[in-house]
Amino acid sequence: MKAALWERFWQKKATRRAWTGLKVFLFLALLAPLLANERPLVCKIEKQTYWPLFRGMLCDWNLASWSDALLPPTDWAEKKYDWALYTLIPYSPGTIDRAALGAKSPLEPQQVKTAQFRHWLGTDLSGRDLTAGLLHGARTAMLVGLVSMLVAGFLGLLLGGLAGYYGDTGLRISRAQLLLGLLFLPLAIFYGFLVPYSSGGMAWRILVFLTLLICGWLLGRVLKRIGGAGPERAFPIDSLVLRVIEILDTIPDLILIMAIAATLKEPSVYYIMAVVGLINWTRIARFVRAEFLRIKSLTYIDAAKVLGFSELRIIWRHAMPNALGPFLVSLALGIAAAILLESTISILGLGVRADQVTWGSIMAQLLGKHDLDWWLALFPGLAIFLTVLLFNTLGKGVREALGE
Amino acid sequence: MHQTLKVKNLSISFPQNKGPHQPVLQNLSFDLLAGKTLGMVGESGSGKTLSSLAIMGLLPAVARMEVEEMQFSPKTGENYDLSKLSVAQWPQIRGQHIGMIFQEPLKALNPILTCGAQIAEVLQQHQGLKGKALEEVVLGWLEKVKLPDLKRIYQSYPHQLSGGQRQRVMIAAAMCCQPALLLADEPTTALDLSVQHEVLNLIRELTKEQGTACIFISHDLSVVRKLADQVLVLRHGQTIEYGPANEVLNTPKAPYTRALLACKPPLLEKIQRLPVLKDVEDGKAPTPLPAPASDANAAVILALENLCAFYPGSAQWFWQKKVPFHALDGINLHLGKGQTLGLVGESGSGKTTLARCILNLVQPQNGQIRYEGQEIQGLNGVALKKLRKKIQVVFQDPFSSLNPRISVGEAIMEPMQVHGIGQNQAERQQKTLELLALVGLAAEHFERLPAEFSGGQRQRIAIARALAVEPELLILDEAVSSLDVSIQAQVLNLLKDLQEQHGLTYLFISHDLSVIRFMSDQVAVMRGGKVIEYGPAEELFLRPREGYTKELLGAAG
Repeated sequence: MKAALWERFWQKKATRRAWTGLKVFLFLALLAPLLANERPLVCKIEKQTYWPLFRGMLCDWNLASWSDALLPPTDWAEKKYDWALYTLIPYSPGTIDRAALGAKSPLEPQQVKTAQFRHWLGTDLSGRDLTAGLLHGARTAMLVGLVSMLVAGFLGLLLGGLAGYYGDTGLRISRAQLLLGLLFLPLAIFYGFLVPYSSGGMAWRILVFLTLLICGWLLGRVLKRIGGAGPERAFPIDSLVLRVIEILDTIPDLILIMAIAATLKEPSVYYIMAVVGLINWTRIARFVRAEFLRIKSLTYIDAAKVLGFSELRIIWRHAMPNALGPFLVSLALGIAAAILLESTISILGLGVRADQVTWGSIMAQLLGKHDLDWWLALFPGLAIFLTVLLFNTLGKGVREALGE
Repeated sequence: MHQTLKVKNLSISFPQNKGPHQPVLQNLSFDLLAGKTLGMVGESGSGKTLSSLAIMGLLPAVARMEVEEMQFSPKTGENYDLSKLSVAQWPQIRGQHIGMIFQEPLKALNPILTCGAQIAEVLQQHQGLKGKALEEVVLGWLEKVKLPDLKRIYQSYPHQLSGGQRQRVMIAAAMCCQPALLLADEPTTALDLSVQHEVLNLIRELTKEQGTACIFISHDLSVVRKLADQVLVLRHGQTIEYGPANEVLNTPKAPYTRALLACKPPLLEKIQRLPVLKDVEDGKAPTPLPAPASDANAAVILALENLCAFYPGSAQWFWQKKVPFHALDGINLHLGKGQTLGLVGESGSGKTTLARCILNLVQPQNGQIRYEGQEIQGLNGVALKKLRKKIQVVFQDPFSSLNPRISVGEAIMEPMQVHGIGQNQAERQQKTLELLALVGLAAEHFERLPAEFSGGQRQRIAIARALAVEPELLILDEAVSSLDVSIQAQVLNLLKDLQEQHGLTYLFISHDLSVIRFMSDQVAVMRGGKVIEYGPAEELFLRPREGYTKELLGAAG
């Protein structure tokens, strides 16, 4: 059956093209630093050979230090090389070409050293190369799309699945467990994500969050074992999740993002990812909930209960794999929506720092300008359009392969 | 008497993914005289529904149809070639000259129109009736199909009527233009036994009265026997036998027809084993032996005492009082070890709720369920898991009772793993192969997914999965109802063999009396959540006490 599904997925030409497109997109996004970089791949300065591009990467990860000849801040273009081999586009997204300030059109004559240094797609207002900007923008788009959907997918699958499987009467917990949950969940969120830590990144925060949750759960188990938890009552998880979804959906996305952006000291693409994820889980959760409701009524779930399988096994092995189809569809469509939303936020100038290049922030430069620099709108717009089309086509392909 | 329909060499094929067209119906030929009924019999996949769709011009666009002659003459002198009608001509034929009744009246009727309006629409379309006159004709037809309370039914929506009443409305809509031909595709299969009987009588009376030719499609020979003048037996798209009804049904020539007639368990005597299709076809069918008498002193393994379960009812408006629906109303039953208790009843009688209570899937509000003397309600944790190992179930629908993503072998191994049966995976795998062999499947089926199996095979997989935990009591909830008779016979024989070999106890739930007769030592008849008659099978079938039991037996026999 799996093979048949794959075959049906392949049957459509549009889907096959989108699949190829996805590979190209991932290739460009992942290898952007190797495709567009102001640092030469190899160069010779005063008879000494250097590998500035790779050295630079190691330095960024604190694995090596710069040799004196290359010590930053360096204007790479101005250095005196014996010879140098550049990447395909010899500009980084932030490289300012002083000769091309103020948005140079790709069509007008440019003062460049060699043909390789030509700005094929023009430059933006600060003289940065548009091709390099687009390539690195693909990286941001991919990051935003995938990470925000990871957040949204996790929340949507968890909450939608629980709501659909247990309904309002299926989940029974005691009062002590409920109180512990009410105590430890806010604690975990507070110590995990809101308290500033001097060291440690996202992984540390997630670890703190999970540790606190597990502590709460264990405490509940111990209380139940010694009999101090009180009688079990039905917990209306379905109504609760549905009400939260309804409340979140009534708030317009952009207004919510503006409100959050206003409270942040410095804008960052990570906050955007988190916020886009926290907004988009509702749609996924509703799909997953509907799917679990359908599966719950199938007799193989009853058969699994009668065979004495644990709840966890039934949900994990029997219910969830059968709900994944619609989940994947909504995930693919969600990635497209997230990329679009990130562009919108960047165009409004809310999301990212001024020096970070995204497709939206390139277009944002046109706001308030009187003459039309068409290349600043056309190329990033095309990039956004193609990427969104790509993920939508993939989502559609999955849906049709599943026969819905 | 003139000939209404003449079909000669009708073949239908479907395109395949790769390769040539797959034939699903080959060289079907028959003649139908006005006022006569042709019974078209076959198991699922034999092409009987497709042939009726072809006559209606409703084949899916991908199907390829070839026919030598398909002549339809609603009146003498009026002729249509059904294979050459254009899209514009069909609406004048359908409804006007050819009526159709479907299996599932709830799906075939429009839920947002009243029943009266749906019949009126047909008359308006074809006979141009309007206003008061139209309403009177519709009411006249509702009376003709013997519906009570005509004015109310006229105003009712399909969901407000019972299954039998809906099918009557369907019949009225199909017959109201006095068509020359009526197509009835399994019209009584979804109905309860007693209602089935009445609807069949109605179809027979109406077609005789109106002089309508009828093609009656069914998988059930005993239903066809009741009204067909001619019988045509189909198998895998090929005509096996075609001739006058009494000839085909009483002295069948084809082995397949003989087998179909023999595979259905008899109602009046209890036999040991059913003949299966292959035996009869090979001419080696053993003469059925009477089954040995059942042991009256078997130890009680399951006892139900005053069991009551009700579902909270719903009210249309929030100020109305919710009336709870009593699914079970004081059930008292005992089940002896190694015996079979047959549970009979029509839909909504509470059979399935009873099974779900014993399985701990529904909590009864009152009463006791004792298994081996121990109360099993409200068990949880380890105690419940231990009980689960002892009581297993096989459900009705073979298509939703297996997880589509888990291979057959894994599905059977998983419960052993959960209950710690077998030392290691290799041992469990070995046992799974034994179980597959036991239910008549091959070792090569281990890796396959459920989608690759037919309904009968899936039902046997479900039985193997239930047996994997070595249960003592097996609940069979309409486990053979959705199977074709020939496969049903195989599965029933298998169940009997398993009972003998492993000393299993069965709770056998069915609406089919002949199957119950074949399986059971004790029988309980349920109606409206109550057991109305309960006793040894022999006694109950030969000397029923209650009127309802007599009625059921009458409708079945």
